[in-house]
Amino acid sequence: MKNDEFLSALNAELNSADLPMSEKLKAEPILAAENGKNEGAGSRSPRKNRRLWLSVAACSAAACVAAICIASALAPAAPPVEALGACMSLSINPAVSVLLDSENKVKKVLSDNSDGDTLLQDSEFVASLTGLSAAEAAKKLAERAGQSGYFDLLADGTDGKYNQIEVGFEGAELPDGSVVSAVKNTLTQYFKEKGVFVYVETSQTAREDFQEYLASLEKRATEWLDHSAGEETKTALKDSAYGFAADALKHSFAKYDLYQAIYAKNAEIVAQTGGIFAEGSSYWELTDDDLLDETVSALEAEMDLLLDQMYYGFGEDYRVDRGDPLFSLTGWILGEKFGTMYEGSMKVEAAAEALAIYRETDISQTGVRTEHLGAFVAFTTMHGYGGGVINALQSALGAVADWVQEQAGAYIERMQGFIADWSQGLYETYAEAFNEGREEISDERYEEFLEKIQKN
Amino acid sequence: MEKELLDKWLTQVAAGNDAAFERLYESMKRGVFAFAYAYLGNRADAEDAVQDTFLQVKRKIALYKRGTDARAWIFQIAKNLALDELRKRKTRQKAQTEKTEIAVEPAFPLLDEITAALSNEEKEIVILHAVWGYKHREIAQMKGLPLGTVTWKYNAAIEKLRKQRKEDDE
Repeated sequence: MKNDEFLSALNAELNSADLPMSEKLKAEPILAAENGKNEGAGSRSPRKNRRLWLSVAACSAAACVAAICIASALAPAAPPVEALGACMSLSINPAVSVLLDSENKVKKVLSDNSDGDTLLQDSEFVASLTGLSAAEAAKKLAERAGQSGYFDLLADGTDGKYNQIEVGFEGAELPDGSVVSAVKNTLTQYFKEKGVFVYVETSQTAREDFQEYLASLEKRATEWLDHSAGEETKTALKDSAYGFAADALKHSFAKYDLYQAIYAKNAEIVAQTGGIFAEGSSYWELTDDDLLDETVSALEAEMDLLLDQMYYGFGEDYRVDRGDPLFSLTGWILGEKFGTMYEGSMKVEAAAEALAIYRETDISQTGVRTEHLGAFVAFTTMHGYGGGVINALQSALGAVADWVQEQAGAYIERMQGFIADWSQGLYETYAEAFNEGREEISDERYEEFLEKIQKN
Repeated sequence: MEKELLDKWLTQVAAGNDAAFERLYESMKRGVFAFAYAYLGNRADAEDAVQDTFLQVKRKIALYKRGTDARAWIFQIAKNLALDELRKRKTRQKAQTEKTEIAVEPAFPLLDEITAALSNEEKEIVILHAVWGYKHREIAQMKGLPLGTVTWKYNAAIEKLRKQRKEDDE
């Protein structure tokens, strides 16, 4: 049920309710203000209140002045302010900062970029971080990032591709080494158990101005967009909106490539299993007899890998027969959308060019027109980027172009609404795949991974 | 429900204007009913709550501050009454059971789904947005929550109702 259908249905239901005013209600007199009959015990007239308050305040003020004079004469100098806590930053992308108290327990969590905002949309999740150790909080934040699709579940250091978490510690002094290593070890062990290769890089900095820095962080709003203002907001929102759009475009194009590869691999399997008088079997129809053929068996294994990529990378599961999954694939690839990969490339390039132009253009002077964004929005729609995500893109990104023309406050509100939808869409798309059990990474395999990425 | 119009009517009610009270009642009765139903779970109690809410409006109108959010003022009266009723129910459980036994075919299936499927906070957010016309930001300010959280919870609530509907159809 879509939102507007729900609203219509609910209001229609309420319209059917006959709610006449009862006789008792009709007969009840209005106790109007000039009647003055219904002033409860707590409701004095404002003028009386003010006189009372002023007389009390005058006495109090005099007493306070006297007290301060006496206190300053007698009291010793206040002790110096103790430097408290530290700031732990986690950068995956998303980027968040975690303020720690003197016992290295979480006081507050802040988002450092718009992707960080996607992690911190759920207020119950954010509240659950308070009071945790730095290591536990880091693990929960990284887990949330994983459930929102920010880790490549199949990257293992091959071709230089790997997941990395940068953990930074800042304080008045260098933090206790055991805290830093606890965070690193906790994160490393967590992802090994999840079967995801992640490298954790740590750094530590002592800041002379840490007290002032900490005070400014404590005053900051949790969401990154909330604490940006004015001209910075326009630029930040423009970059964020186009950043999200560019990510969606890139991701959608990668998904399109994968669809093509799956389709082509299946065509190979069909060709290999066909005989002179019979059509071949698709991947989803292979029998044990088919797999006795070494070539077919090898093709099947290659298709397994492609389907794993589709599931872990894009949340679409074609690994088992779901009715007629091939129909879905051909529908996308051979349907009315793109006839050939070449056509697809041309349209994508045009969209990317439009994006590049508008990144360099002063939006406030030239204005942004939604039809320029239409190309890549349509592309991402065609490739079913993800229900919640694509709905957010369709409904919000075109409007973001118009929002740039409005005041900063309005930008923030609409962008926050978009990010909330985006965050939910990411979680719906990726959480199941991330939470699925995978083979734990042994110490030996992890050492091999570190060698591949030259971090050993 | 436009804030300014409601404020004007409430101001007129405060001056003793019965016609303004009738207009106010007709405009807001659905919203109060929806909210009360979501909390109390049945038509009879919700109808009583509507009448009681507007009785309180008449009795406490002197406390309404002109120029403030009229919807929020009436909503708070309705909410307080609903919570009072829920507290009283704990001592009247037997009577409530009897009411359930004589319940007829539900006339408000969507309201019943909202009552059954959603948490109190979700019910409030959905009713305030869908029926009372509050924007998400206004709800966020009213409840002291981040805007993103309100939007998230609203969408999550709609999704819950959608899934509930799908399960019922199956």
